[in-house]
Amino acid sequence: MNTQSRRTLSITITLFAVGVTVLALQWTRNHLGDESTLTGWTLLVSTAGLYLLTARKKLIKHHLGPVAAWLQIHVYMGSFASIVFLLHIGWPIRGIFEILLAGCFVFVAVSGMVLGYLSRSTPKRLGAIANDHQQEQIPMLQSIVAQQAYQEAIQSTDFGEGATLAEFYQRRLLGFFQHPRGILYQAVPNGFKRRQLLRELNDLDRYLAEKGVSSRRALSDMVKTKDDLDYQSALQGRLRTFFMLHVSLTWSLILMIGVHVVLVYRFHGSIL
Amino acid sequence: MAVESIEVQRPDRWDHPLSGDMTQDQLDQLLRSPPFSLMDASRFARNASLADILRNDTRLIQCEPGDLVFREGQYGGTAYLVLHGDVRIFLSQLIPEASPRAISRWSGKRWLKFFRGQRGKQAAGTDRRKTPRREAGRPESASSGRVAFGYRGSGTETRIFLQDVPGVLSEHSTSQVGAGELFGEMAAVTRSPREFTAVAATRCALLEIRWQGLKLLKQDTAFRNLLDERYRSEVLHTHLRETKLFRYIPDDSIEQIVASAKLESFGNLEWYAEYRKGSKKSASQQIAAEPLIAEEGAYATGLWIIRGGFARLSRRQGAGHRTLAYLGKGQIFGLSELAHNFRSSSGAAPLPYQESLRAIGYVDALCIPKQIVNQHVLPYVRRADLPPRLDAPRYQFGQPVIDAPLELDANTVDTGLLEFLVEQRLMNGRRAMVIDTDRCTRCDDCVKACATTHGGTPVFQRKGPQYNNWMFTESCMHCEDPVCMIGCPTGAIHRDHESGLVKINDSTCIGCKSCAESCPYSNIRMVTAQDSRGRAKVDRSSGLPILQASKCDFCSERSGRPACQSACPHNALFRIDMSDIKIVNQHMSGK
Repeated sequence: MNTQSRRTLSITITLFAVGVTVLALQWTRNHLGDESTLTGWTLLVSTAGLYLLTARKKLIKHHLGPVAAWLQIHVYMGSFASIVFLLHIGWPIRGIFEILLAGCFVFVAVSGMVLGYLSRSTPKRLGAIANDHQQEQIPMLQSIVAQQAYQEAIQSTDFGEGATLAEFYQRRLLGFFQHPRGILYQAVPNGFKRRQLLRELNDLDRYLAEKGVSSRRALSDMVKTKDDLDYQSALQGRLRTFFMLHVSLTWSLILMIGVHVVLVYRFHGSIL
Repeated sequence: MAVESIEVQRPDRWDHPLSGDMTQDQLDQLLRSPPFSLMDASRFARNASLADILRNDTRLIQCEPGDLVFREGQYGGTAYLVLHGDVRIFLSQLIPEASPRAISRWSGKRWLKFFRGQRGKQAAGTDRRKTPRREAGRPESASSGRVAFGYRGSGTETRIFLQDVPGVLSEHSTSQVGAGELFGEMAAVTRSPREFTAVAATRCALLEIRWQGLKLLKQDTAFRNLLDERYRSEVLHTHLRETKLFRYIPDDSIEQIVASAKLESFGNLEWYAEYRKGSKKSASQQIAAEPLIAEEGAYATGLWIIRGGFARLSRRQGAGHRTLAYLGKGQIFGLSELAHNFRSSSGAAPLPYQESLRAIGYVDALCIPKQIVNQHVLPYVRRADLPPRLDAPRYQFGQPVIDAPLELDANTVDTGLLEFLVEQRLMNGRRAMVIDTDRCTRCDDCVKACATTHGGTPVFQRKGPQYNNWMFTESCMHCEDPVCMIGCPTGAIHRDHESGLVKINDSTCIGCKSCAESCPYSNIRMVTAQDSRGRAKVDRSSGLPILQASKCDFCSERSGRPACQSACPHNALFRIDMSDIKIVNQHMSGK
């Protein structure tokens, strides 16, 4: 089955499940039944189903099908659960606990969607970089390039062409090479700093002679290398952070759902 | 935290003989019998004498009439010498092929079959020609096709036997191997699947020789001659019969072809050393260094059949060469030109070869001269099996060469990828691990799954040569030609008989690093050997850690997909047979 037909089948099944739920809700409403109970239990079961992916990932040694298939189930079941969630909650949401619970659910759902988007877009962006490194190796490589840049800047003072490069390094490049990039860059990796530094480095050529220009070129290359490493680190880090947030909040969510069910059945929601 | 260790005796070459059952009387008897009695014992090294080789690298097997010695398609690292009795080699296919390549339990095709009520009927109506013979499965029931089988013995001594030996022999074309003759050595030496099925026709005694021993025995000239003679007389005949093009050729013509066919080898059998040196050369230097089998523009003097290894099919393009394909075992070169010339009128100038053929590493090829092809092959080949006429040949004698860009159809593998595969020798991999970096999120779930399945240490690294979005990871590819096996002195690295997977037997690995050093792709690593409690093994005398080779075993202990592939959440990782260009094209074209 190719990707297109698999996607069509999955969407059809999800829409069918949503349709059945809406019809069941309508039927319950017409028969003066408890709509919240119907949607609540549907939501509980479908949310519980989302944890099957985590379970599958833990059971590596067992033959439970490829994780990719379970991820697909997770994605479409998550979409279904999100729709049922909208059918379940009353508006406005009343009670602090229910607001927290709904917020947690929304955060998990949204982080899941973002994670889906990042899982699709990040590999292509990482693939566009010349040298693709493993996340664990990046700090070491950053440290090496920082050391090289420092050496290059120091050596440039021996050319007898003044301290232009060394001064520029001290003023503009030291922080870039020695320190990690800011939170904004980690969240939205971009090439602004790279372009700015390269332009400024290029502008120094008018104050440099032959050896200085060669040294400047080497520094420009190092800026590119360092930026590539930062870019990879930020892209991979962002994906991992979202994954961690998504997974860790699912455990909070399951606890809150448990409490919610107990409160609903023990106190009929009267204290919420 | 201190690492726990345990002192052990460093393992040695013959710590694990092929069989420990051989008595001194049996050994003496063997040394008195030909061909061993004819050998010059002084040619053997003192630490690997003829007696030592026979004691450690051979074993005696007693067969009852009908016992299957080995089956066509199985992998095996041993040859057999008939001591007494009669063994028959089946020239025609004895055991029908098993069901086609197993469909994944989770694939859509399987589900579709389920809904269509076709489960369990998949063997029916399938085109068996598409299934490689090496995939032939174990006979599962007591009766497989028209040949009835039985089982005798138990455990590792279980033998499969034919139930009606005279009947089967009368129905099939066979070749007799008698006392003093050797068989099965080609598969053992070339690390390829068995090309025929061998069955004991009478009660017989065989000496099974593992290929490490065979290699040592080949130091003796008489023994080497015995091997060569045997190859020409029997194996070639079988091989030609198995080639699709030759299937309708009468027996007397086959005999003529066998008599005139030239067996030629190109390149070095241990090509990995040259490859490592040559991998730093430019593409054109690499191609220039490859031994030329046939050159474009030269007279089409014969038909080439690749027997082993890979050959590059290329054409001159501008100042360089353009790779069109790589040819593997059983593939033919020169047929288009010879067929064209055969069909042309007698007055027309013959066409020369239109492409060049070069050995990538090492190639074993068979050349059938043009006259023999015209006389004994082409008249019997069906029109449908012949290639189309060359209407616009690039090379014609007396005509200028048309150096126009090649028009490759949409189904052809991207030329850049093809060149890359050949340059990196990746076409050798039968289960190469490829990661689509456009889908891979670098989550390392594959590495984690591998570590979990292999006691905490992954046996591959998520890095390796990359072409566009395809990363060929540093993981054992279970090669078509596993050169890592060549130097192993104990046979610890071997091919699984059924699956063809290259495996390492930890108990017989002596940590000599031969396999790790000869793997051209650096996919075998040496790790510290551990006992069952996870303690590092240390040599009692030197105190140094004892090393062991470690590599991907394709998770052969668990059925289905390997753990790395199952664990990939984005279907970015897959295993692929790179030796089959059609499969490569299916998976990797269109990007």
